[in-house]
Amino acid sequence: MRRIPGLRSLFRLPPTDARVAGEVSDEVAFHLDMQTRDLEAQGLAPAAARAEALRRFGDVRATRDELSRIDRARVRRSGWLEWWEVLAKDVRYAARGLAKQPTFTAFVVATLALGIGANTAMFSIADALVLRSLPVAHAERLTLLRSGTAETRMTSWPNPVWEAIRDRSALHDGAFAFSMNGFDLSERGEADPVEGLRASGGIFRVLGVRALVGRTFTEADDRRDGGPDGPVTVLGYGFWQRHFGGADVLGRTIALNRVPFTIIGVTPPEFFGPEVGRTFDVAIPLNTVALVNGDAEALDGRTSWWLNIMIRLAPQQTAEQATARLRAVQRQIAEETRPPNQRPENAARFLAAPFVLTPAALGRSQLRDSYRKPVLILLGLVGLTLLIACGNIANLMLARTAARRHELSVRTALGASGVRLARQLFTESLLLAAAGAAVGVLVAVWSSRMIVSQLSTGDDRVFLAVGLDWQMLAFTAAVAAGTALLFGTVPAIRAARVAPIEAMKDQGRGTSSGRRLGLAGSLVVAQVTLSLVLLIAAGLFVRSFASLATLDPGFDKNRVLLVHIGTRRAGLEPSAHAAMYERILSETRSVPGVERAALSQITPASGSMWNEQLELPERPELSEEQRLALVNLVSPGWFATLGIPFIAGRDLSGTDRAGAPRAMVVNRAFVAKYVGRGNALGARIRLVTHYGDDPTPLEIVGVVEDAVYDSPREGAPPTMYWALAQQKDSPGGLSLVVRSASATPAALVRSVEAAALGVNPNLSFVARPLAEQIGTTMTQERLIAGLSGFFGVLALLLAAIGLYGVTSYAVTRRHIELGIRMALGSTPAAVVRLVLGRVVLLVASGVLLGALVSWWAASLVESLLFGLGPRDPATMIGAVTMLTVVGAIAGWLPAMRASRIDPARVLRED
Amino acid sequence: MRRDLELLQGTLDVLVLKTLSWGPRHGYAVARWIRDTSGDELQVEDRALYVSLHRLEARGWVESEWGLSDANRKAKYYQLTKAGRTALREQTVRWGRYATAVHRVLHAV
Repeated sequence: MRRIPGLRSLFRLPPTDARVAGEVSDEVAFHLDMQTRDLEAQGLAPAAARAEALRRFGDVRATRDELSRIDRARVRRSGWLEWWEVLAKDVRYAARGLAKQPTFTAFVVATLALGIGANTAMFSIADALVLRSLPVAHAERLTLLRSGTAETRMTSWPNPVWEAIRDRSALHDGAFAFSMNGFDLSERGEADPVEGLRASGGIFRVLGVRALVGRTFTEADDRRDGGPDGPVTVLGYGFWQRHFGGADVLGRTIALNRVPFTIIGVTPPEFFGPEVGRTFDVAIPLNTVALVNGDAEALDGRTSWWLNIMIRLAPQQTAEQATARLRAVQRQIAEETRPPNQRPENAARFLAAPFVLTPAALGRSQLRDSYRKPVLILLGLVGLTLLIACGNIANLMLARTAARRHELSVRTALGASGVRLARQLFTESLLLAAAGAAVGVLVAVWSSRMIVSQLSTGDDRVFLAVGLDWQMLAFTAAVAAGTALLFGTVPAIRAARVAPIEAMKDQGRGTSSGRRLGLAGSLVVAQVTLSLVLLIAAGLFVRSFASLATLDPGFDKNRVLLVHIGTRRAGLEPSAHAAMYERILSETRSVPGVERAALSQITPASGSMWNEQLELPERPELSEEQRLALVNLVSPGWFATLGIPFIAGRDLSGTDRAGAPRAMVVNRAFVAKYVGRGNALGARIRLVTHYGDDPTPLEIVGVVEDAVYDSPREGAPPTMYWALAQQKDSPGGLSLVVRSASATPAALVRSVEAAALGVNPNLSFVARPLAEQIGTTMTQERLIAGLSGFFGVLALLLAAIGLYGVTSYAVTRRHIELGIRMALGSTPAAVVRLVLGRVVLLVASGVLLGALVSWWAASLVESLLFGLGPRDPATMIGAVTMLTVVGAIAGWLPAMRASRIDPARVLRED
Repeated sequence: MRRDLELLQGTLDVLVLKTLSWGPRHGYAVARWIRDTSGDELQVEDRALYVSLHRLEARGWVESEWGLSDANRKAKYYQLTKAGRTALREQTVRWGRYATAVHRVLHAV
């Protein structure tokens, strides 16, 4: 018997059913033919022999079917087993090959781990922030109530408006109102802040959230003094674990802003509230806010805009339909909830902007609004970095394949098919990618957590559900497979095409190929292009952040401490507050280390804002919006404490108290915009007054330099500073502004708080250095500058390595040719020029392409920059220079090596 | 007409294994061999033989390969695997014991 070389399919997949049936057919046919032949030999006629053979066999068709059935079952079982064995063999072989080159393997795995890990981390963040729906029932039917057009972002409403909507239950299939505001858990002294959710009773029902432990609160609990169980609260899962260790807490009491609440339940771990980017530790029913605040102003006030309202659509309803129904009753609601004593023109404007319902399946998110663009851009940058890394790895693998040409050609000559060689090489790539992905997952988990924690500042904690979950793993696997394809395919194909004749040739005799660029060269050009794009982006972001951070805020931010004093539990009548503050101020001034102290309602970059409209009859050309100026209430000496210089006039003083003519200090911008020529001092400005306000005009007594109010980006809008003593009491508490003699204001926290506690032991505090508070306005810029800078440098390094590798390899390949050149009279310098010439070509092509791409893509990042345009020439030139220099160095080293080739030795080689 | 002894399937398996113990054969050769060696007493139904061969292959006791017969025709050759040899030994012993026991009972006095 002779064997037929069997047809092996590419991946040795089991034979198809048709193939099995065909083989059975052939076997039976063979038997019948043999039998017929023997019978003929015994003397029967051919036709009779055939008939007898068929008779002896039995039912041919039934037999064929049964045989096919048996074979198919066998093939199914063993076919895959065989495939698996071949795969295991390939993997073992690949692993051995990689283990023999530990530096190569380590480098590739490390590069991949970093690239894949970074991409997965950014994707995780992008997914949690931008893509994922709220983990609640029927998220796709949730909408958020906005005012006016989509451009106006107003999403806050007063409680009376909410109640008017809630009571009209025919309009919606469930609705709730909420606000994410913190609570203070402390009993006295320094505040112990926790994240809070204040929501109407129906929230858990509408969102379909069931309690993990105990129960959630309902409409029955949503009463001003609490429901049947009194004031109740529901804990968030994370808080329950952290604070109580997961113990049984049902029925226990917890003090929120020093008001006792009963814990009735815990929510499941995946529920974090309706706002993406925030989470809640405790949730209370909306109406119990009256207990927590100490008064019902938030609930009854028709000018306190603080609630977000979400409405769930009926199953087949569209947002437009629901909006139309709401707008039909908008006038009615406006009438019911209009603030009393409003001036006619204001009354006409109240709730005039039409209701708009926007889809909110992704939840409401301030975080997303600020970070959506940066996160997506970072995702793009990180993807580019991975591409560059893949380019490096591809080049490395190409070089490796070329180095193994000898081995591969020998194997081909011995009978290995090209396809098998390709498959083995591809297995190597997959193995590398898998190893890189495994480590990359760890990198991703760690770095995503780190990035999210960077987003949190002070009392603005950010929460995003990033962590090891199946989405992250699936993404990692996909990216790993993609990278393996990217850098593994071409070397594998190259390996398959190796001709056996190569086994006869020696290595190193290759001359430069006719083509100037070649695959490796093109890869390097692509790498240089992408690196330049990344470098320019990084440069833009870093410079943006730098200019923002070094912007002069108009005051001395480094020696000032801010201490916000909460007086809710102080137990004093509002009229006694002023005296208390005076005492606190004098006590603070006598604390050692305190240079100056003052009080104000609002501190710079606190996030709070207060504006008033000016009545300027002599300037009719200014619209309503243009007549808005910011306001702050300050005590005498506030400007000196902060270091804001005076341009003219005097500071507010003790003479500016209740009953005296109203005085104010304004800033330069105010004067420029509203007062114009002439002396600002002595000018009297009227305000547009509302219900029960004091209509007397304010006299400008001093002018100060511009200073940041909200954030350095906004600069200094026109601002008015009024005397604290001349205003009604501020229920929210005031802030102490303390200037320290030393450079570390934070050291004064304890002593200042102790001094204040000496005046009234029931005060609560939130203390922060002013520099830190200003820093919170730049978190986004800081983050994107940091990350893009890191990736920019990484990209530069990778491109340099790629350039070095390709040039070095080219020199090795051509070393005989170069040696011969030198033997024939070429100087070392000329050889260096030859080698560098190629390097210059590669770098120049890459830089040109990169500059074009950057130019074209510039508009994408425009909105994120500060102080410079996206096509800033200085940045581009700087990036190009850096890249060129690094590229030159990377090419220089192999060139030097080429110049030191000893021609004599080369000629002796054979 | 002689009444041929009908064979049980299990018996056929052990016979096939034995036939293959002398080297690879194709299905028709196995049929011929059994018939000839048993002195034409054992009449193997062809379809049963092929079912037996395929089942033995499914159990891993024989393996098959396509080759060329003496007449240069494509034929499927079967040969014993290592597991097949072991099975043949065991089955032979068991068959011998079975036959002895039956004989003893039938010829008991």
